[in-house]
Amino acid sequence: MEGKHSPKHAAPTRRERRAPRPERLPVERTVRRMPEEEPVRGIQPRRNRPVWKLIIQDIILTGLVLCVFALFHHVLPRLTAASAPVPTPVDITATPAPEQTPVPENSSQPEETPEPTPEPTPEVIDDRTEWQKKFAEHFTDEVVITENSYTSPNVSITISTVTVDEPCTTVCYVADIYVAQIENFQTYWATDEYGYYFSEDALSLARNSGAILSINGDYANNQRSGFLVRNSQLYLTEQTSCDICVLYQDGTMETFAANEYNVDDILAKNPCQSWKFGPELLDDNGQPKESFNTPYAISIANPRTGIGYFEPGHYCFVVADGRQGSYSRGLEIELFAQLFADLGCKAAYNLDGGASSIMTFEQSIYNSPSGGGRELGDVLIICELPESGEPEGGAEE
Amino acid sequence: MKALMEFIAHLSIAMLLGMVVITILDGYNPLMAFLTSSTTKIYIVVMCILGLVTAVMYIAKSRKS
Repeated sequence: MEGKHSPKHAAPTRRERRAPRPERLPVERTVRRMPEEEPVRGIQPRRNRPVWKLIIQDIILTGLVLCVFALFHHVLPRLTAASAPVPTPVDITATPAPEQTPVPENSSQPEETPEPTPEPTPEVIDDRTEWQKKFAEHFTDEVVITENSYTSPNVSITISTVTVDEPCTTVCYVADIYVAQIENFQTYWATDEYGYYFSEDALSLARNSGAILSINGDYANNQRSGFLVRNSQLYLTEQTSCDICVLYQDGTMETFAANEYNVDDILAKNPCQSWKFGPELLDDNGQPKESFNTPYAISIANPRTGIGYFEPGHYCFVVADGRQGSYSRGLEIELFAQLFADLGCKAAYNLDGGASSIMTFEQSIYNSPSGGGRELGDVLIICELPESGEPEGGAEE
Repeated sequence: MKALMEFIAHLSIAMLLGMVVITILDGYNPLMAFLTSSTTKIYIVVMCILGLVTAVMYIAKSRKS
């Protein structure tokens, strides 16, 4: 049964009305076929490995290459560090020339018998230092220690907790510090020696240095160039690509942008400490800088350590916890700078951060270091001075 | 010879990937001197030589065929 739509009665379509196309000639495809390799002496012909195997092979090879790189970049330098020559520090303390005792001239005249002088009326001599007088209300006659403060005739430390809520919660510890003399503010190398890659845990450093308060430094013993002064010992005098911070013997502190300082000018002002990590956080007016000399990866939210300067004898150490979820996320470099500006600092400088950000107070860890912290190469310490002028500690266990 | 060529090509790929990793790491911690250390300079020179050898061998092979 055929309907009207059957092909027999259907009108020719447009395609059918066209002239018939010549039939395509069959094209010979020139597929080059490799002659099949015949197995020679029973050996099977070699077949190409699949792509996924090649990719895995290359990834493994990349891992091996990186391991070899790490061996030469990290491991071998550390192993040979002990024998590597380190710069010999030069003492740059400005010591006044000893006054020469006048030699009595030989004279034939008999010495006159000195007349007995009346006994001087005993005067009350105020032997306090300039800073002790200036910050008298912060010092106490006796040592007073609380959970978050330490006061004595020479040192005043008060640690407060500041929480930054925006954009996320970050817990910061701010140590407000007054010292009677600049020698109360010192730095201390791991193992008490400047050597490449030397490191020690924070508590051990605090105990050995006799620190009341300590924060991590800049791991300067990991670097072999730059400008470096520690405890009035000059180690290196090179320009660096990072901002530096200098504390002078008169108690003032300055920060310098990279390559915008003159080593001779700094040395002329009698520096006692310098750091080279950065960046500097505040401008000349004590306001946060608009741009920072640091890579993006470091400028994002991280645990941080920094030092702030108010006036000679008055400083602050700040440690911000981070990488700890809802407890504390860490601070971006802009927020860290803003924190110092809010505290009223005239100069501020960022030190090593991340797991290195550790504050110790009275021989115990005060903050909550990220990942439990890590060993440090150097620390900034606030300490009491015995009669010898060296920081206390070291002997006691 | 073919096996050596293949190995050099794969080693070039591995070293290039390693260089990418090193560059990323340097962005995170430039103070570790991943890109400026003497080890890295040697690494880059070796990588360049490998790349050159690979390219020369490839050109020589394609000219033969």
